[in-house]
Amino acid sequence: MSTAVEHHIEHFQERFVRITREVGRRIVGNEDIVSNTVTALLAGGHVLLEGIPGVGKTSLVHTLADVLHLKFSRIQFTPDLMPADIVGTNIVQEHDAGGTFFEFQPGPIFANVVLADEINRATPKTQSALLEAMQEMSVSVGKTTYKLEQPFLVLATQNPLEMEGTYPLPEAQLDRFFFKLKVTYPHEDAMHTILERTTQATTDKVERVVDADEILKMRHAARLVPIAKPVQGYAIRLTLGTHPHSPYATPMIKKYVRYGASPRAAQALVLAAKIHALTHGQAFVSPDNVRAVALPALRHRVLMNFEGEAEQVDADVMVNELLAGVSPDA
Amino acid sequence: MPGQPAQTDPTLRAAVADIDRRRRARAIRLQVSTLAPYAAGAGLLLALACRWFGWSTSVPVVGLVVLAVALVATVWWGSRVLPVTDASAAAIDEDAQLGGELHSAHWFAGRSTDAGGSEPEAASWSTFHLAQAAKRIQNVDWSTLYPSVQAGRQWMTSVALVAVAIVALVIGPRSRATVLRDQGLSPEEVQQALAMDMLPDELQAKIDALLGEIGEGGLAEAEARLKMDELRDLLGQLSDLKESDLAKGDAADAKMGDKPAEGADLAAKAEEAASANAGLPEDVRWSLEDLANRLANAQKNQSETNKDNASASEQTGEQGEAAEGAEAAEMTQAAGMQMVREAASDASEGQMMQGGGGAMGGDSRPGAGGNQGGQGPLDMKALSEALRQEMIQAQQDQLGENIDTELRRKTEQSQAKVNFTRVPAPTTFDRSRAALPPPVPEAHRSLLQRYFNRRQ
Repeated sequence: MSTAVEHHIEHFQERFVRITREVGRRIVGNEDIVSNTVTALLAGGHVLLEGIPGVGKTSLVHTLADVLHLKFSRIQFTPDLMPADIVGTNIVQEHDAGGTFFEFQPGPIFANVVLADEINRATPKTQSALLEAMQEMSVSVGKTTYKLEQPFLVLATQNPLEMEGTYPLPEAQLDRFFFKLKVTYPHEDAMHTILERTTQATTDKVERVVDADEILKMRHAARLVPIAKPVQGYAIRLTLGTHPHSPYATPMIKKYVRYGASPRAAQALVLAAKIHALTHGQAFVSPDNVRAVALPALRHRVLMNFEGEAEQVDADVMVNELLAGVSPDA
Repeated sequence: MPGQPAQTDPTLRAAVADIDRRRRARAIRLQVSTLAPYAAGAGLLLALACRWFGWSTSVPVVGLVVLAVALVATVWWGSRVLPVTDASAAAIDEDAQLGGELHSAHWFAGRSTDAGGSEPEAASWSTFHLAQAAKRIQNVDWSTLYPSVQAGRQWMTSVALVAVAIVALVIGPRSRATVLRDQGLSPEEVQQALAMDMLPDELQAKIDALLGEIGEGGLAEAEARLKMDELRDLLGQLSDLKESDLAKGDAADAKMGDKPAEGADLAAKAEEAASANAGLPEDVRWSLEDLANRLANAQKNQSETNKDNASASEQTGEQGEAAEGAEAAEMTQAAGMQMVREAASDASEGQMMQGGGGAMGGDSRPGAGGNQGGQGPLDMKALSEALRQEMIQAQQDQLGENIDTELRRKTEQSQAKVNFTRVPAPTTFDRSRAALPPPVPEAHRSLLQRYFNRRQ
């Protein structure tokens, strides 16, 4: 029994390392981004990637799809994009014997890895078309509901600089993202490697490491990791601490936050902590695991008040202050 | 054990409890070994105090025993077996740098149901977790992590201090009062002896000698005045000594007042000198009489004070005008004496400053000019009170503060004029006079738009 568990842990660890290493062959720097993206995939969540153009957001998603041997589709969000362009629509078909009928034509959402590029350029109506797909893993067209194939991962990107003509994601939509990852500008050494890999005749090819079944098994294993109640309590306190009226809230949160994170944030914290524990060969979750995933899990779920937005307070600063202020011991 | 709920793990919990006891015992021993020298030092101080003040020897002995018992009880209390709390498990985990494994395992070990729900697969994970944690606990060298407390120096210091305390109880210094009490003297006798101890011998000898010389008589006028000046200086020194002693506290009150025999003796000598020297100048004789009176009064007051300080203070509070009058008279006398001292050496000038008691004589005492009859002594007090009251009122009546009075004065002294100037009210709204709302800062404009647009 113990051997089986040990085997699960080793297997998980080995696969995780292989995925990140394979993605790292094409994506230089940003190891944390790759690791967190794979964590979100194994937790069954979606990722919002934020970064300036040209830092490799789209390349990351492409590479991930290649490594995972999954069906990949890309949707370029524009202001005139319609919900039907994403989920699909019923079109009229003709029978061979004559007569017509409606046939559902699946949209690009029907894939394992969906890249929603520049998601904030589409109207809220179109953005909302993703809501059901992201939460329920299904799509309703007319009176019919279509289940999406598992694993299903939405990787959305947005540019934090060009805000003209964009539609910031509604809170309900933001909350559905498991992680929000900030893709930073690569440092000088990484730039050298990027240029060497992308400006020469040969391109690095990545291997397909795992398939969909393997990912689903890894997901299942991640959920089996036991978590002690005190550690779970720590995740809950962190989530509650993002609310301005909570006793765990820090002075900055009390001043600048309008609404804090939802219970979905606590779920994300615990699940991500479990995966983080497994990747470190642990059969248990520690407060350190929770702390390691708190920033990407909470930063987009903290809704600023007007004062916070006017002063352009960074949510990361507030989450870090929360991590420093809330003790793992109750 | 698939299908079976994971039971509590007593082995792991017992191991953690043992580690926790070791940790607490170490912490408490560290504290006790740090506190022990201070406790022994306190015992030493207590022993010294007992020796000095003549308290019972049993006080420091009992104190030291109580301290020792308290330290032992603290060690026992801190080392006893207690149920391990979650916080204790977390602390041990942190000390051993187990990355939360012991903390988590301790919680799972205390659960009576399965660890991860009803699924046997989940239970196998928690069982594995407990087994792994038990292995890691065994691999930790707890005796290195929580070594026994090495506090030899502290304990040696404590023992040395206790030994010194015991020695101090036997051969430590004792106060003079304690020594006198031990000789069988009554408290009054002890007090008198202490007062005598505190009188400067040199000063006493000088005053005695001077009074003796004056008392014998036969001194020339100039020589007598010289001796009298010398005597005044010595008395002035005595006075200064008394004031400084009073400032130091009650114990020093004995300097002047607590030596009744000494005061009486001096008063008698001064009286004797004044009566035996009729040929002396008048100011010298008056000074001698005054000196005799003051010494006699001081002795009387002091004896009253010694009787009952509390009742004496109450009496002073209830004495009323008569007491105040006496006090004022004394003040006036002192001022008069000062005037005498400052007077020229000529006897006639001294007589002028004495002032006569007759109806036309007036009162020559400072601040009491004019013939006030029998109210002389009281006037000083009344005058100073009146002056003080006047100064307070003068300070309080600042310009602009007493608005009502000033307004009233102005109204009384001038005539009010009522004028009305008609100004036509604006009949139309002048847009240019309307104040515009403050403009939105350029930096915040886009944020404002975004903030409010999103809510629509």
